[in-house]
Amino acid sequence: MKLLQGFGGFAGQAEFIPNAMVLLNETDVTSASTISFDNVFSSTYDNYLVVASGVAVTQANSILIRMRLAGADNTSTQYIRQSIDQSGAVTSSRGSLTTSWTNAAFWEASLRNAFSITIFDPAKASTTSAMTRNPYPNQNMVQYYLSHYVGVAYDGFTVIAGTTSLTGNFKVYGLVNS
Amino acid sequence: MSTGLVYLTSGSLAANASQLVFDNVFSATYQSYLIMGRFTTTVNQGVLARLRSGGVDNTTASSYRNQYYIGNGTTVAAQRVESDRWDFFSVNTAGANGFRTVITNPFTAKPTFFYTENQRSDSNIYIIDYGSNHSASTSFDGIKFYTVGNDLTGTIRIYGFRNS
Repeated sequence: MKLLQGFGGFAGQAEFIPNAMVLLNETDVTSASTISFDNVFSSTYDNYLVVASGVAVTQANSILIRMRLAGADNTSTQYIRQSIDQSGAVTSSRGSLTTSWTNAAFWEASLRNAFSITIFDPAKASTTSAMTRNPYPNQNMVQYYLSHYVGVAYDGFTVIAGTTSLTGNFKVYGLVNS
Repeated sequence: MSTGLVYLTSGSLAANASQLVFDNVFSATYQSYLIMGRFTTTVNQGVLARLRSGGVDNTTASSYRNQYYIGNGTTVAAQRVESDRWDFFSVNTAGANGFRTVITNPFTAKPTFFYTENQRSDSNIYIIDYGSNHSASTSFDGIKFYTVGNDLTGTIRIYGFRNS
């Protein structure tokens, strides 16, 4: 018998296969403009996947992300973004350096928005990088590759919805190192 | 409780290393695999890859096909290449470079294909995405990542997606 188990599984069975993607945090958000996740990043995992689903916002808005340590956002001007926007037959590219990962996603009002982001090495005192793809509800597609290079080991992050209010579900997963 | 993603193996390169070989990593147990890597380098270079079977590289000319595009500032460029190896990801001396790949059918006796998302550099980010295949209907059990320019430091991890 092959058992596929996560944490709390039955080591000692005939074949034990540990879960490679571990759910670290699940948060349901209701009518919030800012959502912070503390103590989700640690030395246990190098890389993480964050999934937001069923997200409803009160008005269309770009979503910002900031890295976080000990309950405080890092607001230095060291967040870099490179994006490729695809709309019909038109493709464009742009880069920016700001105080957050701007436009990490764009969510439309009156729709159930979703996105996922892979974050590399946030808990290491080195560059944090991230990749995300955001299918716009109006059928555009935007991909963002992000970096933040202050050399700080972070334990969390903040999602900033700006002038809108959002409701939805967020899950943070760690990808096992070995 | 079951899991959809299973850790299989990993390998690391120290400074001045030029290749990382994974043998017996692909099997009939999984059809698709997630490969993730993170590297620094002192040489701007592409990292190449070849599929392997029984410990031997496949070097068939023109069997490795790449279509990729690069986003750099306000410029987007694209290219198609056929060769005896894949351009798998690219690294830059300016900070950390990362990639994630989903590769399908390496062990199945059908053409292998993959999609790679590659972030090159951390202070002057390039988006480089690859859509690639290997044309032969051959079963491969391994893959080799290598460079010509040398000096690659980092780790690659390979996970299997459960079939059912």
